Amino acid sequence: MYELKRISGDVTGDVLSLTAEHDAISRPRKGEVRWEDFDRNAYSPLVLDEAARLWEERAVQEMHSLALFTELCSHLHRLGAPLDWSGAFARMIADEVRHTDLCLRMCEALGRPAAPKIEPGHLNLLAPSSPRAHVRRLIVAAFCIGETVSGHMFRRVLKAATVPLARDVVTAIVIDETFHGELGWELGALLMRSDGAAFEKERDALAADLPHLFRHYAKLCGARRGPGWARASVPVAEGPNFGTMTEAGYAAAFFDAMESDVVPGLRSIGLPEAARAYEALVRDLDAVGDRAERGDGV
Amino acid sequence: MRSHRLNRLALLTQGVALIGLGAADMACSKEPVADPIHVNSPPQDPPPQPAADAASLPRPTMNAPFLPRDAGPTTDSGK
Repeated sequence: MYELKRISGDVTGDVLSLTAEHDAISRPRKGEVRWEDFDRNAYSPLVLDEAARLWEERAVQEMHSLALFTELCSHLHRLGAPLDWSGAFARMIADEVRHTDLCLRMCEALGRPAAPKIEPGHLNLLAPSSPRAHVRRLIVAAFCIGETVSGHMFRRVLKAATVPLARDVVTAIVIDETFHGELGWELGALLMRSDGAAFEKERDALAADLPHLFRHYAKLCGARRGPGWARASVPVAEGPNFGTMTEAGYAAAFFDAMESDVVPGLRSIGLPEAARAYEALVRDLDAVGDRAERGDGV
Repeated sequence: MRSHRLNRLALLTQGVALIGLGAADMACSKEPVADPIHVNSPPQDPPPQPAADAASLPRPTMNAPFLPRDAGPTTDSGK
């Protein structure tokens, strides 16, 4: 376990070269974040506490993405991926550095600087000699499902955010997430090119794993009941919004992303089993919701 | 996802596979091709030097790195 510091610091009083370079990478690719315009005195301490808690949680999530994408990039080198994959990953790794930095700077702006604890054992990393099937599974999971759902969520969060500073930060993240979604699907499709019997076995194993992957992401997105419940619930709480949604709001984004992008996309790249896996997920979650309404306990 | 994008993804799955099997692939291949040394090559033990060459080497400085070939039997073997 370690505490994630944003800046190394320099006892000489100068800015370290590495910090200057980091600052350059961390600036939004388009537009700007108007940190100096934010007046935290305009908000109650409770609202600021809650917003800082959310942004610190997001910093941890972004740090996990940073570690995963860095790891994936080095594995793709071992597997002989073309050089343009490295270029695309270099951009994506920079994006995740930017997102983690933006989240931590939000905590600072809210008057609650954070050094979130990172448990290295919880990072979703690959073993050093992971075969291509593991790499492909991770890309389908992290990009075709994870980044696609995340893009839907951030676009809704942008609509919900009313605090200008939060809107600036979320806008910067949404620009990057749009690229991640496009890249992820291209990678997913290119990785589904067959080179014989070994590939067919790997594909079948991945298809059989889709129900598990869908359940995993449903849980991560707070989808503990079916889409009917999520879409009928209030997606955004009242009051000043620093870029948050209710649990049902996140769940609704998950279901919409699954239906509009994830399941159709997986079918297109050669995993038609996605449709049946999603139907099974919805059936299970609807059953949980029915039991909860009857008071059977969930 | 719009239909033209879905069609494009389906097309991208066609063609020659771009990545290999990795470690398993390498294990099944023939003799590995010798990789020339480059700036980020993993460190290797230096080749053994002939005695005459060793004598002509510059005198090491106090903080020169330790070389495995310098490790010899201790003067006091305990026997």
